[in-house]
This record gives sequence, C-alpha cells and structure tokens, in this order.
Amino acid sequence: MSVLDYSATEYVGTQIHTASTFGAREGEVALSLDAIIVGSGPGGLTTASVLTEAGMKVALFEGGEFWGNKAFQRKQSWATRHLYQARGQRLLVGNALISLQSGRGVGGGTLVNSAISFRTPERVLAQWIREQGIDFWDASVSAALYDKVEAVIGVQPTLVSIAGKNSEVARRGFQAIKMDADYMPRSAPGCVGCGTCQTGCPSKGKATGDNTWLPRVLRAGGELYANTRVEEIVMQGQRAVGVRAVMRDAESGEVVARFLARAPRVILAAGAVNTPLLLQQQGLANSSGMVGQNLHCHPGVGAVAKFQEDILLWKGATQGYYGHHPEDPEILLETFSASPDILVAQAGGVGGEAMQFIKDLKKLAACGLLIRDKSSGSVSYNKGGAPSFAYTLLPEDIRKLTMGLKKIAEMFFAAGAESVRPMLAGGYFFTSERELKTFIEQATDPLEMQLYASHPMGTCRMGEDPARNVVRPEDGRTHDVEGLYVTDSSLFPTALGVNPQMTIMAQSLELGRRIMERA
Amino acid sequence: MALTGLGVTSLTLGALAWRVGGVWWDQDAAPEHAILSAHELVIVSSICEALFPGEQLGVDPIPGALEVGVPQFLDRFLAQTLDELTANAIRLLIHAIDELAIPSDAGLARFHKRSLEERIEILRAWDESGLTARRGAFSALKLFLAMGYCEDPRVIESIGITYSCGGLA
Repeated sequence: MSVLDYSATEYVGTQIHTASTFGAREGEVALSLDAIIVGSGPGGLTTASVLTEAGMKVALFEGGEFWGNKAFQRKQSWATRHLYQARGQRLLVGNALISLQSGRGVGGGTLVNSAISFRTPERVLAQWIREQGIDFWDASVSAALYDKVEAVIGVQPTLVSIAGKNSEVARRGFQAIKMDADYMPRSAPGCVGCGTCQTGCPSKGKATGDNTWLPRVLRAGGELYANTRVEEIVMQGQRAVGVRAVMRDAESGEVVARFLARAPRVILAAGAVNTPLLLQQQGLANSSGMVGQNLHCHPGVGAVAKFQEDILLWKGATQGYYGHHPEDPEILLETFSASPDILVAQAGGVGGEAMQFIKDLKKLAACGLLIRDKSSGSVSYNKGGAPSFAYTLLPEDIRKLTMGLKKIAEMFFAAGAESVRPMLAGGYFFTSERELKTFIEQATDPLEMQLYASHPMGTCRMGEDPARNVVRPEDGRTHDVEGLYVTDSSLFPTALGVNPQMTIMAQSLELGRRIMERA
Repeated sequence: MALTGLGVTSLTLGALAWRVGGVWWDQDAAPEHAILSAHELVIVSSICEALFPGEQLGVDPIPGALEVGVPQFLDRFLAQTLDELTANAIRLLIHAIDELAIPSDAGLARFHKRSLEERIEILRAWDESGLTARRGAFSALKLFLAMGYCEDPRVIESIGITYSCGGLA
C-alpha cells in the first residue's frame, strides 16, 4: 500500500485556510494555540505532526501556496514564479557566485527536490555529538528516527524500470571505473519517471510534505494558514508568546487578513534563510552573534555528456543514480535531469551552436556533484533592508569540486560518451578525457565555475555552549528566548554531505517529542 | 538568477547606456506589453533572433525565437515574475548590449542594427566573457529567453521531444 495520502485537500476551508477560502476580514484575527509553527516545509510539518498527535492545538503559518493535488507541468518559468523562494533569484556572493534555490509553498523543499533520501553519515553525526553535545544523533536514538521517517515518506531505491537512460549510463560508467555507486534512495513511491521534480511532480508520485506529514497533522486537528507570512514574533519580556502574520492574495499581494496568534511555544521552521532573517529583524536570540552565520549549502557543479544513443533526460527519475568519490567521502556524485532551458542557458552557446545543442538534447546525459562544504557564509539584511548572502569558498572545497568534476568526466567517458562538457566558463564538448581533465585542473578560480546550491543550512547552529550557538540540544529552544524554538536545517552544526530532507525530518521528530515532554 | 552580477554589470554599463541611450526607464510600454518599450522590443527581438535563430532548412525545420514570441514572453516574465529591481536590471542590460556594440563597429552601429552574423558574435562575446559579472548578467537574460523558447510546444515537438508526463500544454 502506498504511503502517499492525498486527503489534505478535503480540509481546505475547514482546517486549511488560504487567501481564497478565508475571505477578507476586518481587524486582527485572534488565535489562541498551544504551539505556532512558522513554515510548512519538512521541518515544520514533521514537528506539527508530533505535537498535534500528542494532543496540542497547533497552527502552521506558511507564506506560500497550498497546491493540494495539483499535477504540475514541466514549466521552469511557472515554477520559478510559484515554487521557489525569492522567485529563484538568490545568489551567494563572495569569491564565487552560487545560485541558491529553495522551495516555497506547503511542503517547502519537498515540492521541488528530487526526493533523494540519505541518512547523514555516522561520522558527521558523531562530530555533532562530540563537538556540539547533540545527544539524539547517537545511533541508539537516530536509527529509530530515520526508520520512522523512511516509513512515512516511503523511501526505496529507485526502481530500474523508472530510472531512465541517464541512470543507466551512470551505472555503466561508475561500474567501469569501479566506484561505489547505486540506484538513488528516494521518497517517490509513485514515481513514473517524468524527470522534472524541480518544477513540481507531475504525477503526484513523489512524497511531498503535503501528502505525507500534513494529512497526519490535519487528522489530529492541526490547522494550516497558507498565503500567510509571519512578520513579527510577539514578545512579552524575554519570552516569545505569539506571532503577527498577514495573509495576502497570492496574485495581487493585497492583504486579506491579519492575525495575532498567541501560544506558549513559537517554533521557527522557515528554513535556513528565512528563520535567521526573522530573528535578525527583531534582534532576537542572538547573544552568540551566530544568527545568520555558519551558512553551509553543499555547493555543486556538473557536466553534460553527449552519447551516440538516445538518453532522453526527460524520461526517468530526475536523479536516479549516485556514486561516492573513492578518494573523498565528502564528494557525492549524483545524476540529474534539468529542463531544456536550464541546460541551454548553462551550456548551449548562442546562435547556430545553441541550435545544435538543442537538436542534441536527446543525446545528452547529465551528472553533478555536491560537496560537504567546510566553507561558510552568512545571511543578513543589507543597509537597504534586503536579504543579502555572503559565502566564501575555501581552497580545500574548490579542490573537492574539481576532483569531483574530474571523476564525472572519467565516468562519462568510461560509459562511452562521445564528448563531455563541464559546467565551467570557457567549457566546451571535449572529446579527449585527458584534455578535459587538464582543463578542469586549471579551473582553480571559483568564479569560473557554474555553481549551484539548494541546501542552505547551519544559520542558527545547535549546540550546548550558548556563547557559540543559537539553539540548545535539549529541546530545540533558543538559548536566549523562552518559548522560542527552531526545528529546521538552520540547526545543523555543519554541512551533511548528503541531501538533507531525511535529517531535517528525523531531527524534527525528536525535537517535537522533547518539546512535548517539557510541556 | 545572477542578480548581483546583473547589478554590478548594470551599474558599470548603465552609465554608458544612459549617456548614449538617454532616459530609458520612463518610456511607456509598447502597446499590448506590460513593461518593454517599443525600442526595447526592437533590441530584444534582435537578441532573440541571434540567440535562437531556429533552422529553416531540412526535413524538420525548427522555429526561431521570434516565431514563437519569445520577446513577448520576456515582457510577461519581467512583469509577472521578477521584482521591479531585477526587471529594471534586465532592461538596463538590454540597453547595454545594444549600446556596447557601438565601439566594435566602424559605422558606430548599435546591436540591433548589426547583421545577424555580427549579432551572434557579439552575444558570444557576452556568453564567454572573461568578466564574471558580464557573463553572469548575460546568463540570467539567456535563461529567461531560453524559458520562453524551450517551453513552446512547437520548438519541443520540432526537435523530437515527446513528454510522456507533465507536458507543456
């Protein structure tokens, strides 16, 4: 039986409130709750499921839309407008320019991720226990948390039948160069292989927050306010006691209703960008000076390869196969698919060259990599009041990027590629592996790399020492402010080295339980 | 996508665009358009034609960007998707592409007056520029134009792509 539950739409107008169902209200709508959760991504929804199932009266506030059972189309322009924070225009700026993408709407990142479901490696969790005192990452606790998450979101290896040719090519290549590689573990039990997760799942076969955790929340009596952005944390002395939020029409931006919600627990789960920005806006929970600092993001780069055979990137799992770099466990290679416009813009050239690229799309395979970055950056407001992102790549991480890219080149040629084009400035389709590797080795300036990231984390670091950290491990409460909690990827002390959705959910399960224990 | 790249490039090049092009930001939108002025539409059209000229020869011709209305797509995208600051940065970039073509021509012709071959060469220089900000800014514009082009079912069908799920219709 599938774990996917499409019943959330039945609650629209009763427990799910949107700008169109709620209707315009005069004055401030007052709500009295046990817990308020800001954000309905994997962190917020998982926390909400624990609290509501334990009997708490909970409301989630989500700035984005509730899409229900919408079968999305593969239109990057539409997705850019509706499914990405800041309409896909965020950029990390430093010694490199890195496009930073985060999902928006009920479900958060799960709306646009590729359902990749790894457990964070034990060596990373051991570091968090050792250096930060986060006891629940001990295997005796975390194994059960991960087990539960995997069961709820239906994690399984990508089936060969829907993996597609892009995965097959990678399997062939990784095997030929004797790399530790496999079909991707994914939370997409109903996947039919459309290859376009990043524009929203067309088949509704992916486990997104709205078809896994949300129905649990609703059945247990929780409420969700979509199109509703929290603009202020209400304080009473040194204690958070509620939020002010505004519901706006998604198209016009006109205010539909204003809320004053009160609760003894305000839980921030708006992601590693919006959570610290909300705190910074009011100067809260920042005696350590670490709110917005310690930004990690798993920067990545990739390559496309031209084969004689048809690959058809748009048929098969978006990211169906992966491999571990044999010399560095902090480099993870993952196949990917992207819409034609992204590929053309990144690697297609102009004029006749672009037209040839477009004609060759059928023959293209793609593989990227992410690294567990030691590099870090920050999220803050600039003087004009706009969010600003800084990030500096360390030399050792630049080396990881080039090492990974060389391994991808090796894999593609081993799989029989005619030519391989790295996502580097000045790159072209190389027919010689040796020449390509030389080209990659010479690309030591990160400004020459077409870098991408979609896993912001670490900006409200969890740890025992209040002088160095924002949030305490006991229950996810901020060190400084009573009643104010965080349960999203902001808490991660370091980068993970793998896609984070499972770890966000596992963490939220445990923190939800601990919040309940202290209630 | 490369907003900061756009900002840096735009500020640098904008002065030239403003000097040569005069006041551009208060031009009215062209009829039936939301943002782009008639002059901007001319420039964007000349960029689109050079970026994705299509292929008219062969058994399966591929429509060009002008045939499938990419300039109009860009106008809608600027109006509906991007915030005003980013949309204006893109407009400034469009002017910069036009004005910065002047020094490379003996007749001092702007981009939109140049031959197709020359325009392709100019865009290639933007696409492959050694200046990260210049390359990044063009990359953002190129992505928006590529969305308009590659999301048109006529283009997708003409190159033999069949989406079995999540189509474009």
